[in-house]
Amino acid sequence: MDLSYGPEYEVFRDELRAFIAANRHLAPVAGGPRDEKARAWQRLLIAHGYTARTIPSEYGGAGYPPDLLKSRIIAEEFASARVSPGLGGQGISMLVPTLLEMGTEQQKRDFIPSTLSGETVWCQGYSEPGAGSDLAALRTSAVLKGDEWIINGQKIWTSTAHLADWIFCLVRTEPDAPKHLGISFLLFRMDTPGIEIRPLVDMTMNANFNEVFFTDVRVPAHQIVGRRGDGWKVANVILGNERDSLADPNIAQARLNALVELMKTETLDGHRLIDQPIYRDRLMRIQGRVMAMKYNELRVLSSKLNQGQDAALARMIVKLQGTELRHELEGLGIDVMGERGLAYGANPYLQDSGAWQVHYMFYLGLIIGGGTSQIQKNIIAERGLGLPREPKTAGAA
Amino acid sequence: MGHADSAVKASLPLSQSMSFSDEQSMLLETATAFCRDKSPIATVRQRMTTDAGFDRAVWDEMVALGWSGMAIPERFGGSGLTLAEVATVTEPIGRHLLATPLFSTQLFVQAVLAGASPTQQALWLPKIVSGAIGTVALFEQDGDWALDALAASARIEGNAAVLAGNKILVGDALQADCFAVSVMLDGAPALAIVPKADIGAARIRRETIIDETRRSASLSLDGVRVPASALITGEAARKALEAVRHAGLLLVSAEAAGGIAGVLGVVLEYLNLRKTFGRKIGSYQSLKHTCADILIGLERSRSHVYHAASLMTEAAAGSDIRAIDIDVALRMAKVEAGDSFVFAGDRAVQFHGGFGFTWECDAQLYLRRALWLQYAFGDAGHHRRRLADTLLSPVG
Repeated sequence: MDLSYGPEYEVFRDELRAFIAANRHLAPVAGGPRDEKARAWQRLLIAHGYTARTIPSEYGGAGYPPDLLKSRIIAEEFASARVSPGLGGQGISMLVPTLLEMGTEQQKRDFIPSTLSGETVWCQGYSEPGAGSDLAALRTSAVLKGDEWIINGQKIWTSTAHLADWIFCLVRTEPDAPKHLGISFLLFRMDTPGIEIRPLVDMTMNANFNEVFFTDVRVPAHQIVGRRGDGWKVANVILGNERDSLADPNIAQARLNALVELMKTETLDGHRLIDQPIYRDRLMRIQGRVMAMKYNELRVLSSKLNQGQDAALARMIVKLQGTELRHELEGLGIDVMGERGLAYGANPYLQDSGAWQVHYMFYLGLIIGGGTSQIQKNIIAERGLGLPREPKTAGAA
Repeated sequence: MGHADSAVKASLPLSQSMSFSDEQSMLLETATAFCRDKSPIATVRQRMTTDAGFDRAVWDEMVALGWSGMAIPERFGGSGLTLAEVATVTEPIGRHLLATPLFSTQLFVQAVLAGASPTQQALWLPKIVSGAIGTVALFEQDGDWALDALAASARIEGNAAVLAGNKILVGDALQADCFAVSVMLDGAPALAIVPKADIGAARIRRETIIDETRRSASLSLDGVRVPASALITGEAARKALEAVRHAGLLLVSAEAAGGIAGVLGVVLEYLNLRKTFGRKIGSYQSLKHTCADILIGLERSRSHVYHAASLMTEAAAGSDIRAIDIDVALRMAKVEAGDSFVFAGDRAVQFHGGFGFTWECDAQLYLRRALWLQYAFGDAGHHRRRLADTLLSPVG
């Protein structure tokens, strides 16, 4: 097995670089799927096979065969050019791969093209007040009456619920089954009567996530992915994808480089931070981990190609390390500013628009989201290392 | 973007062939089976009690498998492969604590390949291929990791050089057939290639070291005479020392990566066996999470080691790879593998409770090896300091 980039790949990279150079003025600087510029950019990228690359063309994708090296080259080039790689979000990164694997033909046709184009924006209804790390303990119920599901309950930490057109939602449909086998995966519109959204302000003072309440929400019976009771299996297809996308070593390297620049201007006791041995040592610890992430990524790729080791486990390690590393890196940025690291929000002494403080907190959110580091370590130890499970306490299902 | 930005980026080249070739995968499988077979833990302990510290019959088998001559060109009878292959077999050596003079011998090989005259190469390399043991005498009493800060010296007398001074931590010295000894000559580092007979048994004294699975000795060089033709001087000496340092960093890191896998195996077995408060201790999260941390350290170490090995292979094949990038990759590998193995060994001892503190517990064998590897060729703090000097703007 050899991961050499043959000449084919070098040509591919050159073409991509030329494409980015010629078209970067068309790329949106920021802006979600509601922004027409972002949607036009998405269409252009799909037409050239630079996003939605392997999704079949009958579902609105570019229809190329999977080629992990090309996908990797695409990610690298857009990151290093600092140009938007196309639309993201939970619909594209999580629901589309799930439907491709578990959806009916009709569901694929109904939902994938409009999701890829940005017309349909999704949110994910998973966590509940009593079901976070132990997601399978969720209690939101769906009861089939005639040809409709009647949904009652509450979701929490639902990112972009206030912006979404649709939700993919885990609900309990088989209350008497063991907890993992009683869940179903439903799709429904967010403007269905009986849905109430309340914004939650996160610790960065952003209100991106929400509480979502369901009171007798009526959903057509066919809007289920997989069979009744298969929801946990369906959700796990997505969880793998989510963990995959949370840690990008190229971005971590760019932040590290910015940190080095900051440390050249910040001083302590009249000396530049960049010259102080303790800070240099901390920088090198982080640099080593950024590099390891990058090389780990290559090994994950090669294991996918090899079908050798457990790629899901390797991805979990990527999520765990990538989010912890960014949190630590951004935290060092705050340390470096000394007392001025206390500034926030509209404070005129704020450095770099508050990026260090906001990222530090935001990455703490990502350490928690999709399974806290502690949960990840449990899974790695049990599934990866074969250590015994925690004994069930009395009363657990 | 400033200077440091470009410097940091430029020094992160991605190896183009991170994963194993088919040949390397087969080699890893062969080596893993070999080491498991030849080095069960009871045998490791038995060999620790012997003078040589290793089993000559096992060494002969490794020689027959071509391992000693792996990185030696075919024109000297070797396999013409690279240090990446030596690293591949070194990982399972670390995993199974196999006692062997392979590491010492490979350092000697690198010194000779990089710096010695064609005559010296033709003299020594075929002997290594057929089983001779080589070693390097580099370090001195001050414990400095800089290979060119030397008190030992040589002075020319006619056609010979006369050596003076002392060396410590010379691996496998009592069994070695030939030595590469670093000395100062006319104010610059040089290497003398010396057959055992010219050193003499009286000058070699066994040292007790922290890793009982290894053998080490001090050398007294006073009065040792070497023909001038056996000296490596000037630029050749600099290259030879650099090659030895690189090989040392790569192989020590590979051995440490293997060691993490080995000690993790020891830990997992115990955690699945031992019960306290009515349950297996492996079900406690504090132990589980630490095991996950050890696994992550192992994965990180392997990634750095494979990457460094790949870069060295590509450089050897003529790719345009800067020396500074190889240096960075090797130091990073050493930092990660060194720290991670010491952490793993330390926790492995702790997890065995009171038994862990006893000589009987196998975890301590790994911890003692981890410490040896951590301090060989520079510990993590030393390398982070050097990495900062390379990757960041100089202090000032």
